[in-house]
Amino acid sequence: MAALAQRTDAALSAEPEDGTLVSAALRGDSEAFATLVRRYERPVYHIALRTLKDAEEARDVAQEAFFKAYRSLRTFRAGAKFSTWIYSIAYHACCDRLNRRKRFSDDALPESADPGPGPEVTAIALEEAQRLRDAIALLPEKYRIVITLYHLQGRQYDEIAAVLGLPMGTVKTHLFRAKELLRRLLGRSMQ
Amino acid sequence: MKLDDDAIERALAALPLEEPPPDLHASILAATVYRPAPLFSVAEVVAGASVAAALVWIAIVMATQIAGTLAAALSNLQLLAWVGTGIAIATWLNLFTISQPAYAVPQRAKGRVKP
Repeated sequence: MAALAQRTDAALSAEPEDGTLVSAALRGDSEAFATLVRRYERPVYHIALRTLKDAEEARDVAQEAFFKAYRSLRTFRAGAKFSTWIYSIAYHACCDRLNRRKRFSDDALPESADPGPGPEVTAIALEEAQRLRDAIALLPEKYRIVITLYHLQGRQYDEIAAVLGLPMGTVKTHLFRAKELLRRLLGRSMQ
Repeated sequence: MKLDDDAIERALAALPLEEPPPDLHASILAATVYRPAPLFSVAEVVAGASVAAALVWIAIVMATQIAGTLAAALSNLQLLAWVGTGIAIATWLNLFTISQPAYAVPQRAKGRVKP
């Protein structure tokens, strides 16, 4: 996880910092905002895809998140992390969609891991990464987002807590339970 | 895959992020920095809508008053009788004036000069 963070840091070191880009974008530099989009579109899409489990909706949410960020760029606090801010916007956009789904659909959202066959069974034949993705997709939403952000952010619990608006203790608990569930799901898929 | 805590963390770290759709970047930019500026500002839209609303309100008030006056007039029998009488007289008088051909007078005059 730390390696991922280091890779990301190394990749970003050559480019200007997020705060600088935000200031430039506020001055009307469209290329600066385009750089921010290039830097964060993938993780934002990733959060949306993991949370919503629908590629088309994930794409819409990614676009919506950047649109909201662009519109309210002036409210971005200097010194804050742009990544935390944009992830938070994306996560809340996902929550809105999930709530709408709950309201307009009779299909209940998976609140617990599906014990039956289905994606797990098919995942046995797939690569480890695919098996892990399938297992993550089976997690309840609150655990799935914590695992996703943990995957993106490394061990930065405080950032995950800031994105989700949860106490850090809750984040740690969710993460612990998410890993437990993952372990059980992966164990089952290997049998 | 060994299923201890470290193994799961290693697997998570090694898990590649899903590729976003190829046109996502372009669509985000089209919705943000390259979005065409609106034709009217918010203040202009608000001002225009206020003027339009005021005009509609005045039109409705005027139409209501005219309709009220007409309704009152039509419900007054004495007034209707007078109006009916007036129309009848006007029609009767028209029978004598309009029914005469316009060229009748010059023809008669012509006849008197040359018997």
